[in-house]
Amino acid sequence: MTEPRTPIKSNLDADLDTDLRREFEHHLELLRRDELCRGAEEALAARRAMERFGDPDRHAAACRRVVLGGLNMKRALFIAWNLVLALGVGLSLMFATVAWLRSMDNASRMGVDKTAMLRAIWSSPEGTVEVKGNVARPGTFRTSVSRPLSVAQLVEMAGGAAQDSQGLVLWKFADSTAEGAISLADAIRNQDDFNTMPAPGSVLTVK
Amino acid sequence: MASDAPSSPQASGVLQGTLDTIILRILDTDGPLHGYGIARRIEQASGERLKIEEGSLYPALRRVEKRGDAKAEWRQSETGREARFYAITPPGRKRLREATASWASISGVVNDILGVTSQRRVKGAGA
Repeated sequence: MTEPRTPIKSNLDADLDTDLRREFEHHLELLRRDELCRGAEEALAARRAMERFGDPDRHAAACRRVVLGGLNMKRALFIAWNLVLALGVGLSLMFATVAWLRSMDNASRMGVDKTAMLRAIWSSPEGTVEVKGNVARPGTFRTSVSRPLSVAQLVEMAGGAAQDSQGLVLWKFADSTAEGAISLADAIRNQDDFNTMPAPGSVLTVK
Repeated sequence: MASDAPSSPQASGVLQGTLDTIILRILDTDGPLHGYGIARRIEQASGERLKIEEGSLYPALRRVEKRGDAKAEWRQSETGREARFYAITPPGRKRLREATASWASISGVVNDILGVTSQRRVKGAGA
């Protein structure tokens, strides 16, 4: 019998080779006994048995093709499928990169701030802001709106300023160094908004 | 199959698939046999006219087994050694019936085309 022709063999391949070897050995043994019964010498009997049987390696290879043929087809299909998937992912990445570069180029030509644009793209469309201090219902509120809320709206979300409030609003955004103070009355009158989505951790303190 | 390893004129003359049918026929009539036993039965049944490399039986046996026409199991043989015995299955019997009918039909057509039957008739009439 042949030695394994590939360095990595599945258990199925190994089992098949073992079965074939045992089967062929049994057949050759009986052929050899036949020849001995016909009066052949030991060496001649073995040679004639081998002649009648044919090349065991060739027959084993033919058996392997029969038994493992279907499996090899499945392996080929599996590999082909993975190649198609990899190609699809690769093409998608390539088109996405081209589209990205084009949009960056367009933004540059239109004078759009690329950093702001990137932040708008990658940041969550929702923000959160903690409203605390002299408000009726202090807490953290989601600002899940398509555009930034005004100062007055944020205070209103927290139930409005308490009676003893000084009417001063301190704000500090978590995603920037910007912070400041504004009069609630002015903010209401001017409909001041923050012109950005407050990132999680942003704080609005009503004094 | 002989086509896997044709080594003699007789072997190469065995039509593709015919060996599978012969194997099924032998298993059907003689019951479970190992490869050597099948080879002996082919030899006997053909009057030693059909000689094949006996090893070429094994790809045919594996093919028949893979199709589900036969099942195989290791059993102790007459020599006391373990041998792989093949037995025909119900689907194998069905395939054997179909293949036998198909063979009868095809061989009849081929005989007609080759004039084998008519030549015999003429010879018979002349005698």
